[in-house]
Amino acid sequence: MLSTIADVAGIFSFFMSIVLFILSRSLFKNATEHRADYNRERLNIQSDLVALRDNIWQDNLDNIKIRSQLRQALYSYRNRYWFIAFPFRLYHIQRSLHYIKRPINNNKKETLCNHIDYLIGNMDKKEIINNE
Amino acid sequence: MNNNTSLTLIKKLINLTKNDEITWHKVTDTDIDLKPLPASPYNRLLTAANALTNSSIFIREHSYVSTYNDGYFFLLLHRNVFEDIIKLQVQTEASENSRVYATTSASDDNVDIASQLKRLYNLIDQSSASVEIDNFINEFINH
Repeated sequence: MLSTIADVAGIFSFFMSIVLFILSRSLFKNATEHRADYNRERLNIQSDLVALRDNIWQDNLDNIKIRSQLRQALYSYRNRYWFIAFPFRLYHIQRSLHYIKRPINNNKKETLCNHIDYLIGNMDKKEIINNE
Repeated sequence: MNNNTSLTLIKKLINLTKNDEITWHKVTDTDIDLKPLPASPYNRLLTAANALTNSSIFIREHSYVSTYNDGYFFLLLHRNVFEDIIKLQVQTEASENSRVYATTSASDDNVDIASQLKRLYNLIDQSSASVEIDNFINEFINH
């Protein structure tokens, strides 16, 4: 009885490992494509975030249009690259989105800029694509 | 035009715009003509190549011009499937051509230029919307 169970478990594990092997190759390919796309787009996204940060921080532009543009940039960044982003990046994106849900409190501006600064600085680094 | 000069120029335009020392108008609201770029053989080839490969559209309604002494600064918005590109183009009354001093197509050595140009554009775009609303309110009150 026990040996039958062991045999069935062994056969099941074998098929699971084949399925996981196939899935991991497709996930790996997906991650590679995301990284390549990120490397192409990162400077564009970075310059968008720098511009909007400076508009809020230095130019005191805090209106629905600016906040909408910033939200759009952050949502786009998050949704396109969540798969390859470290949790810290996602954390800073979420915190930034939290502060721009409504007109930004003056005493929260610096906190918001801290989060955006992290994302901007993070984008100085290119993603390494395997075999490059 | 080297990157330092372009960046200095854009920062100066930002300061002048914030201090209301220069004003910007939509290109569609003025009769100022944009002069062509210099016609070098390289530019002709580039223009032909761009026409074949680049399907960007020039959006006049969201492009702006400002006058300073006898010169004009243009902030031109071009749109294609992938992105919006903003170009800073300058000409004078006496010049035959205009020249592109900066563009928002970001590369490793001009992220600062791209970001400050976008910042300038956002400043102008916001204040333009505000001025239109103010004009509308004034007109409504005085009617």
